[in-house]
Formats: sequence, C-alpha cells, structure tokens
Amino acid sequence: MAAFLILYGTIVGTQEYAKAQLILRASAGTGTELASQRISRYYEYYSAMDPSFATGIALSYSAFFLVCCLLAAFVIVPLGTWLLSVSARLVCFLPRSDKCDLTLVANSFGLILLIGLCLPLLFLVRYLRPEMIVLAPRLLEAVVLTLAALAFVMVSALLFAIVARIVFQRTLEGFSRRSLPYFLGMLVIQFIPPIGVAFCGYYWLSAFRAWIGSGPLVWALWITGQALLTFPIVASFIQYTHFAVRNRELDFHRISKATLREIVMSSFLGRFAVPYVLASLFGFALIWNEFTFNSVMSGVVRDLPSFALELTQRVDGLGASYFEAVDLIVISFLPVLAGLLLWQHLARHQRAGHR
Amino acid sequence: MTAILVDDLTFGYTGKPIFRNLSLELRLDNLDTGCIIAVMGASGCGKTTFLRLITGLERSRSGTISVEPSDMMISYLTQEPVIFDHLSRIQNAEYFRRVKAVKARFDTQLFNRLLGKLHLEDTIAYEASPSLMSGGERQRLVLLRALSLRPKILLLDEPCTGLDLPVEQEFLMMLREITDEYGLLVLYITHHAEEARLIADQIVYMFWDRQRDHVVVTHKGFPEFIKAPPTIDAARLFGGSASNVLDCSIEDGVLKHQPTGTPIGRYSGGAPELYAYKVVFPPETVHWKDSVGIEVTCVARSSTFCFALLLGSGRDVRLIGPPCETDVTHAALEGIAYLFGSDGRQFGQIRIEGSDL
Repeated sequence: MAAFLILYGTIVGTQEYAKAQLILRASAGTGTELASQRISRYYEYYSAMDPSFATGIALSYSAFFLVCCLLAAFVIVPLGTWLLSVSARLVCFLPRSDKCDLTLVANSFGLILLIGLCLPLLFLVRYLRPEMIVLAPRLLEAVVLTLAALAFVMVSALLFAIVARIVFQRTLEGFSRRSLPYFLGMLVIQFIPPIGVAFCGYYWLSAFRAWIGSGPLVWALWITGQALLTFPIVASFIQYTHFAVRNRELDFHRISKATLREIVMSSFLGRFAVPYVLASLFGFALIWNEFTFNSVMSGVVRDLPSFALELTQRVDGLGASYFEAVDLIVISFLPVLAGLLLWQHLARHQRAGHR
Repeated sequence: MTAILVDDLTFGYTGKPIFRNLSLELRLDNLDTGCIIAVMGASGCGKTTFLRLITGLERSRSGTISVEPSDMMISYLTQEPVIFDHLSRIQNAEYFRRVKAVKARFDTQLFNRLLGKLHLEDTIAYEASPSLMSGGERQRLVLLRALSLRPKILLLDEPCTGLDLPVEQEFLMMLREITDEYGLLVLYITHHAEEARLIADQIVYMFWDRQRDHVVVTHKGFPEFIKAPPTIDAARLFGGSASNVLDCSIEDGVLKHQPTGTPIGRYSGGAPELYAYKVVFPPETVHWKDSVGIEVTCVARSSTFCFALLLGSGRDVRLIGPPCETDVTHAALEGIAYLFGSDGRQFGQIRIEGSDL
C-alpha cells in the first residue's frame, strides 16, 4: 500500500508541478505565486548580494509557512470541524448527549467546499464578454475529442475491470497484499509514454508524421495516448468499486450457470451506474486538463483542439490574453456542471430505489 | 434415487491435501421423506470446501464427486445470503427467471406455494430495498429462490448464522417440513449440536487427524453418532459447551480420576482395565451437594467449576469460579458420559453411577 501511494503521489505531484509551471505559471505580478516559488524567488534575488542573508530569509519564510501549515492542521481543521458539529447540532436541535447526524455534518462540509469552489468562479464571471461565443466551436471540438477518448477509456476500463474481477476472483476480492501487484501493474501503464520518450526521444513523432500525415490515424494516436494516461486511474477506481461484488455472488452465478452477459448485467452494469458516471467525470477531467501529451501532439497536428493548450496559449507568451483565458475557464465548467447534474440525478434515482 | 457419491477423492488448496482418498455415499434412502445430513466439525476442517466440491466450484486433484441422477439440479446457499440490493425483492426471489440456462426449470406453481409456506408474501410485495429486510427474511428469500428451481439436492452453509433463536427455530422447522414434502437431500453445515438435534437424520463429522495429516470424514445416522461420537471434540460438541474432559482409569469397576485417584463413579461397560482413559461428560452429569449431602441447585455452571472441583485432591474441595447460591463442597458424577482411550480410541457412551460412592 505504501509503495502504491508513493508511486501515485510521485506521478500526481510531478503532473501538478508541470501544471503549475506550464499552465498557470507563477508570477509575482499577478499574485499567482506558490509558497515554494516565493521562497525560491527571494533566495535567488538576495543571493547575488548576500548569500547568508538570502539563506536567512529563505529559512525564515520556510519557518513561517511551516507554522501556517501546522496551524491549519492542528488548529483550523479541528476548530472548523467543531464549529460544523456545533452548527449541525443547533440546526437539528439535538441535546448535547445525542449523536450528531453525520450526514448533516458531511453536507455542511460539502456546502462550504462548494462555496469555496464557486467563489473564484463568480469572481471570474464578471470578466465574461459576449465575444467569448467565438471560442465555442473550438471548445466544442475539444469536448467531442475528449468524449471520444473518454468513451474509449471507459469501455476498455469497464471490460478490463469486470473480466479481471471474474477471472481473478480471489485476488481481486478486496484491497490486499494479493491485489497490490495488480494495482501497481496498472499504474506502470502510465510510465509507458515517458519511458518511450526517454528511449526514443521525439524521433518516432517525425517518423509518424512522415508516415501518416495528419489523417484520422493521428486522432487514433491521440486517443490511445490519452487512454494510456487515463486508463490506469479510471480502471483502478472501477476495480475498487467492484470489490462490492463479493466472491459468494460470483460463485452463485457459476452454480446458476449464468452467462457472462447475465453476470455483467446483474452484478455490474445495472448496479454500479452511479460510480461509473463518477469515474467518467473523473476521466473527463483528467483528459480535459491533460497538458503534456497534448503539447507533444501539437507538434504533429496543427491546431489541436485541446483546452489545456488553448489555456496555455492565452496565459503565456506574446499572444497572451487573460480575458480570453477567463472566458475559457468559465466555459470549461459547463461540461463539468452537466456531468455533475447527471450524476446527481442518477444517485437520487438509485437512492429512491433503495428506500 | 438421489445420491451424492464421493469416490477416492483427494483435494487440497496448496500442496497439502485436506481430503485424501475420501470415499463417501450420501443417499436419500426413503423416498417418502427427505433427508437432512448435518455436516459438522471444527472451523477450518473443510466443511465448506466439501460443499464447494459437490457444487463444482472446486475441482478435485484426483477422484470424483458425482450426483445421481446426473442431470439433477443442486442449489447452494452460502453462509451470507446472496441478495442483489439493486434489484427489487420480487426480482431477487424470481431471479432464475432471468437466467437463460435454468429459466426453463423455474416452477411458478411451486414458487407461489412456497411463498405462502415461507411467509414471504407481504415481505416480497413491499416495495422497499432488499437491504432493509431482516436476517430471517433474507434467509427465507434465498431459500425460496433456491427451491424455485425444484432442486433435489440442497446445500446449506450455516444458514442460521446471525439469526436469533426464535427465527432460527422457525427457519429450521420450515426447512424440515419442505425437505420432507419435496423429498430433498439436504446437506446442512452447522457448528451447533442443537440445530443438528432438531433436524438432522444423519451426521457427517469431519476432523483433522494429526497422525494421518489429513481430514477424516465419518458418516453415521444421528442415533449412532450420539451413541459413539468419533472424537473427544465431537463428544464435547453434543455434551454442551461446558463439557468436561478428565483423565481417568478403571480399577475394579470404579472410574477413578487420575492422577488423584479420586473415585468418580461406577462403570460396568466392557472397556479394559489398566488403560489410560479420558471421560467426557456434560455439566448436567455432575450432581452438586452441600456439606451435609443435600443436593443443591447451582445457579451457574462452567467448565471452570468442574475442573476446579474434580482436579482437586479430594472430594471436598473449594469451588473456584462464578459464585453459587450456597457453599457447595461435594460432587459426584452420575449420568451419561463418553469414554475414550487417551490415544483417541473410542469406547462409546457409558453410564456412570456415582451417587453411592
């Protein structure tokens, strides 16, 4: 488990760093600096004049951020939890001795999180301009392409996770020492593109361009690349969901001589519609925001419709236009909102069925 | 005639076999009534594995398990009932209507009859999630689903786990009734002697034989099994949870506790003298008397009592354990007990007369 978390943390951390550096580049002027970047900037600025002063200021900033972090961990979070619990109690009119309704606390957390997410969005909305409509076709192309990749990822991840659960019945009955190599193996898929690049450089791309030009096969390559990056995460999530299918249930199907189709319909597809939609949303977000592979592919395909690339072009370089970037960010929330509503609808439908 | 035939079966999960050259014949002899065979034994001795082998969920390394007639339907109910929470209750009950391979066997008439017999009409008609059903209702629903295919063999893996006593008894009575009415051969795994006493016609008892290093399976009719349980553990199982095991010897027809030499009771069976024995007796066999010899009622009995009492140096000993209503200082064995050689040799049920010692 620890090894899995380290690997996953490293990958996600590296990607996040790439995003911070390449997409939302930090700038003191725009106030988008991370703590680490501020320390680094101060150190580099002062080290030319007085290295020991630079070290001192870097250390004092580090200490300040560490204290902030500790405060957040040990004071603000427990205090927030306590305040939420008290407010939930007040809303429920519960006496002190009674157990507080956890759903209410969770909903309160969710509400605060939602407000926290929506505030920056509301802040951005005031910058929206009518001209943003010209971006719509471009983004629509990106949405269609993302959905095509998502469909491929979801179908392959579902097939893979269902067949794996049935075939490796004992190995995949839960998250354990036995199933760990399986999940680690899935994660290794994510290393294929970087390993490929490390060994072959970008020569394969020029060969590829000379061979097939920019026809439909390019899109197939794009979809495959996105699938390689997204599949392990989505398939792992789905596999984890499938732990809910117990071995005795699969045994029951075997004794009943149920066909594969019947097993899939009764134990998987019909049952996990809501988690599958959630996995789709997750996958959509990953493909939609993916930058590295899109950047590589932009060398093969001119005008690759990618949200991440479009955004980068508008916040970086000579053609930067922050207003257009704001438009893009606001518009990009629409598919997410549509997905969330769909998920909410399905979840409510399923809950109603359970009552 | 319905039968399960095990022939020279060897099976193990790793290299070490659980069953080695096992041959067994479980047969429904009486066509007028069904037959319930309780499968018993310590945890991990292979009871569930045995049932899984019969269903074909496990494949034997060598030997065969077959059923007669060969095209017969087998239903298997796992310890925790398989219920699909995303389906409605009625969809769960009629599940086999959806399965192509067996839907032709689905017996609507039988289903409707059993629905009433198992008191499930209201439960199934209620449009709520199956997850809200009680343990007893869930067990009855899976039993209904299993029987809807009109099976001849029914395999049950501890179906009463987690049920409270009245629900358990109701379930067992229904099972007995259905077994007899439809002439079923039922294999019923249980750890509880009371359940076996209530419904079993025969007992399959499994135990791990350390010398032979595999599981030994014995199969007897219920009365024969009670008369001569194959192991000390089996004897204790039917003697109650607070049964005691004492080392003893037989000298001049008197059963003496060893090493103290305290006479426990008279013995008139055929077991040889000058032999090391173990006697197994339930707590009810011990009669408690106070210091003047008047029999008293003990409010609590446990193995700690009896051990403390009889492992003492004489017959007047101090009690250790939960308190009694009065100072009990005298005990004698009287009643039914089981006698084993200390090497595990079985001498069957014995009667001990100890009150006049």
